[in-house]
Amino acid sequence: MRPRPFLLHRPNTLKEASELLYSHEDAKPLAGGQSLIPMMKLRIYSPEEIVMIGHLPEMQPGVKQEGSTIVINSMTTHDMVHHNELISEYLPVLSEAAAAIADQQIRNRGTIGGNIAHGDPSTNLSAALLALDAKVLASGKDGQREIPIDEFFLDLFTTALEPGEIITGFKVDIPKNSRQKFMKITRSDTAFPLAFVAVNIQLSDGVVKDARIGLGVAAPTPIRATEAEEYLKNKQLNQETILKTAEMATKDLEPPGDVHASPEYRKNLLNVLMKRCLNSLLEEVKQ
Amino acid sequence: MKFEGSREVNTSAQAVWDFLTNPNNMAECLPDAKSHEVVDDKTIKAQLKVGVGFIKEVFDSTISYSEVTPDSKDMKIKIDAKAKANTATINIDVHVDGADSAAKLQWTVDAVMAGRLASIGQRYISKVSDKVIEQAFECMMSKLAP
Amino acid sequence: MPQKAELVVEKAPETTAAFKYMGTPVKVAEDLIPLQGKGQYLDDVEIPGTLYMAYTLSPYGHAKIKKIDTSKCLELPGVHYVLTGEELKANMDPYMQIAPPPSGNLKDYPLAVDKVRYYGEPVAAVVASNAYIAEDAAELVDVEYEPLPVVTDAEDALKEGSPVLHDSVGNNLVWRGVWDLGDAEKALKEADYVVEDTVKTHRYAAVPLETSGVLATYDQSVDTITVYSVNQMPMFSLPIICGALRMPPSKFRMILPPNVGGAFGGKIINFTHITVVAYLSKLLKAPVKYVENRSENIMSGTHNNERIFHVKLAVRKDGRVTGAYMKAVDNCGAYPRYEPAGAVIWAQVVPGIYDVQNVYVDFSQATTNKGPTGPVRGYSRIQHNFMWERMMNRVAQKLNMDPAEVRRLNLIKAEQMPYEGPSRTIYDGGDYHKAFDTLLDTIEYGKWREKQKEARKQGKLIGIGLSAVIDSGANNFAQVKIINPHFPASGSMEVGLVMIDQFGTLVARTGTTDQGQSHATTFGQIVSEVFNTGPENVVFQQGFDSISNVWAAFSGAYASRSAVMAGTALYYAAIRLKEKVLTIAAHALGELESDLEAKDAAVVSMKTDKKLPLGDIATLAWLDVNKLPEDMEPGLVSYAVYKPDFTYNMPDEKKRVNNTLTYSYAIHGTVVEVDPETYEMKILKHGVVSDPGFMINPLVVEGQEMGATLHGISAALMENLEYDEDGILLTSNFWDYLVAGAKHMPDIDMKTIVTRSTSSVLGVRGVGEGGGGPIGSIVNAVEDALQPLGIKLLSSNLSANELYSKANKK
Ligand SMILES: Cc1cc2nc3c(=O)[nH]c(=O)nc-3n(C[C@H](O)[C@H](O)[C@H](O)COP(=O)(O)OP(=O)(O)OC[C@H]3O[C@@H](n4cnc5c(N)ncnc54)[C@H](O)[C@@H]3O)c2cc1C
Repeated sequence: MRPRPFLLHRPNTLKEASELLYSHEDAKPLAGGQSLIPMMKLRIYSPEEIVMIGHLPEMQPGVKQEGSTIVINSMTTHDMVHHNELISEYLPVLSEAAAAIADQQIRNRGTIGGNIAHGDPSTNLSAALLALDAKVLASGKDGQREIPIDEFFLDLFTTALEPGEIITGFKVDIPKNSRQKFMKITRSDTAFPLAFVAVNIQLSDGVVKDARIGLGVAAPTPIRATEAEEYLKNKQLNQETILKTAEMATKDLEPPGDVHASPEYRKNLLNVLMKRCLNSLLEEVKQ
Repeated sequence: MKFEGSREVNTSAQAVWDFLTNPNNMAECLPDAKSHEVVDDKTIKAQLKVGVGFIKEVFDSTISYSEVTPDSKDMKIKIDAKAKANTATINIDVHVDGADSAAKLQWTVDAVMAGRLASIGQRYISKVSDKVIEQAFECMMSKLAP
Repeated sequence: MPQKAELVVEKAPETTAAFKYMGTPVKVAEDLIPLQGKGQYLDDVEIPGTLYMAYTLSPYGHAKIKKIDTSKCLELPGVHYVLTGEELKANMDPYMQIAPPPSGNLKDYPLAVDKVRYYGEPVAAVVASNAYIAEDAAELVDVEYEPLPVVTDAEDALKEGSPVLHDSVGNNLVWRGVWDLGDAEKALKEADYVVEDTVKTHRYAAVPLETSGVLATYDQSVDTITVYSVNQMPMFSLPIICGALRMPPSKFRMILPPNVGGAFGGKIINFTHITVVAYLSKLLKAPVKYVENRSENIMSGTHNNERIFHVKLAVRKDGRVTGAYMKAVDNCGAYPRYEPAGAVIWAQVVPGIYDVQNVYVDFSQATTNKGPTGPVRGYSRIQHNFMWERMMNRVAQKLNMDPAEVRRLNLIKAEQMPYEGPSRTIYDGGDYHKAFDTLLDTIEYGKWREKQKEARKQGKLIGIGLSAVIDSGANNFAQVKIINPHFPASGSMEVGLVMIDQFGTLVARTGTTDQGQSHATTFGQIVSEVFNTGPENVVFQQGFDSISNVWAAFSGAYASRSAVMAGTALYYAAIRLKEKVLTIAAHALGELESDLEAKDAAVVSMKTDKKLPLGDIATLAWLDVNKLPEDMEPGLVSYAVYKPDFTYNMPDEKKRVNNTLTYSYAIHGTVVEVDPETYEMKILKHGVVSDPGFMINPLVVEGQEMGATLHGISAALMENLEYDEDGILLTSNFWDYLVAGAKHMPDIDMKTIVTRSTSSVLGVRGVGEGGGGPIGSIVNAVEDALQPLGIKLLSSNLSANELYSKANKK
């Protein structure tokens, strides 16, 4: 359980970090290490070079409000995301998703940037950020850009980041009249999750004006249930529409299977979670 | 792990067969090959970088043709691939038939993946060999009949 | 000079009230040490110049080794040596086999020779200057394999035409034996009903917090290998190692560090690691260390026996079970390393907790392409208990009776105690009915049955499950003679040493090796009791060292034996020492021995109130020795070997023997709720009532039973070693091999009712293993919950995934 040899870089600037990553094909940035280091220790992934980024001034954890936008820095830990007041108030689905990651030790180290950069369909925050229509802030050797989260996840462990690009943070516009929910099913906190769902709906007089739904462990990448979102628009939230939404969100899914959950069972769980999320939002509205 | 695939090609079965049985054509179409060498008319040695996303391993691979039967247009391709702590033994049965400009290439695969990735990557590994083989055939056929 | 072993000691007083130090919940002081990170575990032992070993592991479940090329590995700077199975084969003998030929012809080496037989099997051992290089180098050993057909199921392995694991055996049968006790066939013929079913127990691992490890050094000056290990029975494992390495045991010094981080049976067959590391340390004339990583521990650090039963019970109309007829097939994994002992160990609990005298068991064990099995907490009896508990529910279903009623009807009665079972096990007292009824009260059985009716109306799935198990402890090695009459061991023994140091402190040692069972506190209490002095005057020395510790060949902490065996040995040793102390005191004080008593670290005269502190007596015994009574041997050391009488000490031709000394029992009850959409299972209530016999320290007993309960919950709901059809282990790390932790532990309602053991000297029973009670109660409860869906369960491990697929079949 020891990693293969690697070279460790500690660059002085973000630009330097990008250049290092750009010029070394097998180099990887290290954030909280909660995905990268276990893989290295299991020797299923062995980058030849590791570039530290956590010490860089631009990368320091933090959450701030800029007008109607929340900006979350990349190195903000899951625990901070969970407990941050701005996030709890405006982006509760993200806070709930962070709270439901693994155990406290892992939440103390793991970061939102690493969670998203990993490109893994089983990362809680990816579903939440999909539901929130976040923008990924990336910094490369040629400067900064914003990548809409919808365009970020390309394939299993494959993202839209170009060689040398580092995630510096995320931008989320504060949704209006929004109700949000994250739900997850797992056999144990630190096990590979069975399924999870992140929902963000805009409601007006009980009618859904807009909906974004993120699904976890549903496909090779984190995905949205776009058909179901479309369906839900301008619908009253009730038992019938909830059932139909869940059905539409999951009917065409082909989730991965493993010893803990067959593809069919995962599909069922996503369906159940979808219903439960919407039902719990319906309850909230009623109160 | 067993799976199968097929592809229709708008050329003759004979043309597909001739193209397929030439290892040079296969060698040019190995996905993510770091290097390759056609050893003889039935054997290719290659270093294939295979995996999902950034999780890739370099497999030292030997690809060998056997039971090449021109009459029925059947052959077997065996891939023996070995990386640190991982191995794959893949047996492919290939068959070509079909009419003049509607040839059909069919393959059935029996893959035994062993080692760490097979154990830890159970959720994803089955897709990998499937994809690699499909890519190789796809590449060859589009070269043959673009 | 050891004193005579046989000794007449008054039986321990009958009531706990007579005790001052034993029987009280003394806080476990030694627990603080590991909690504060101050423990000394194997990996904390450091010797300068140590080299580190790592294994190259088999990626296959079954494959021929065609060639091993070590050249690239040896080129890596820092690599000292690569050892392969070929070299070992040339320099050692295969391990002794318990089973007689033909399966005794099996050749087992610690590294694969000619072929690999399970996923993760060590193929080569690489030694390097540090652990990182060793792991890197292990990956550079180039092994050419030819995959072979795989067999993972034990019944398949015994079929004609199955792939054969060991060519020297010719087939996969490790051992087969038939127990024909009473007349089961007649019982079946005369029965009102025959209840028939198949029951399966699944494979899981011991998973101690600390994995196995070895550090060995070779001392050229005396040609001796010193082995630091965590082996649970170091002096029993030693002859196995020495036999293989062709060295006398006296050339080995076996040491265990003061702290061992749990074992649960999983630290017995680690003698393979010890062999390799010892061999390498002698060859390289350097200290060599190896500590299993977690995956290695899960892959090959002892799996439990996976078993399938095909059972027929003879049942009377009223629910009485009059006989049992069964075929059992046990999955040994690739190598029998303590097996096939498991093929007889279950016979400690032939009738389970029930009064059934007609039992027929046809038992076979087979090798398969899975990791080696061996003792895991509840070794081999958990499976048998589970079978009984599943079958009792089947009886209830058949007769449309309450499962509680069926059990009550069949439980052995208090007035039948001590109860001689059909295989001559002697259940050593207890009141099973009282325990059972207490459990029903504890979990509010009646109330939950009512609630269940209500819940079902609302579409909720609530189930109640019961399980009553025997947890036998302190084994009799003679049971292994059932397998092989030439097996050179029988009975059991443990040794205790008590001494008083120069300043008057009582010092105690035994041959058991604490793995977290609070030996220091418990054993301290025993010595305290005999000397009528507070635990602050007693030091129990943890750890083990074969050259300075006392030991018997069976010494160790396994089979729930420590309190029963070591506790008794220490009790005897302390009494002997006290006699000498009183003799010296009588001489020094000029009084009669019969007027003196030991009290508060001194000897006091009940007649004159004169007092002589132990420190003064120690001075006389160790230093001022001319003042000792004439002819008295100086020193204050006493030593006792306790060898229990099992009554039926040796197996007869019908395989009958009293396999173990004590038989504690526990009744578990679980209420679960199954989510009708996700099929997740939630324990709403879990109760345990057990009878551990006299409790030397109730806190320690409670800890053991809580641990065993959690272990059972974990086994039933989480832990599962799953292999695919190619023999690849799919649960090889904690991401997929799920182990319950404190967070998964429901509130446990735990009660004890105490009856003294009729067979152990102190009245205690072994309780460390727990009999797997929760496994049966959980599976029964879940099946009960799913009754409206008509789902029948087979295995001892449940997952929501499986329930979902059962519910959605068709
Ligand atoms: C036992 C266990 C259970 C877990 N369970 C869950 C779970 O249920 N749900 C869940 O969501 N997560 C889970 N995780 C993963 C955890 O959330 C990780 O913290 C997170 O996925 C990665 O964040 P990190 O900061 O640790 O990133 P790292 O591990 O340091 O990096 C992860 C990947 O992202 C890249 N990377 C990191 N930062 C950047 C950046 N700023 N720009 C570009 N690339 C970057 C790295 O190069 C690497 O490839 C679990 C982890 C463990 C160990």
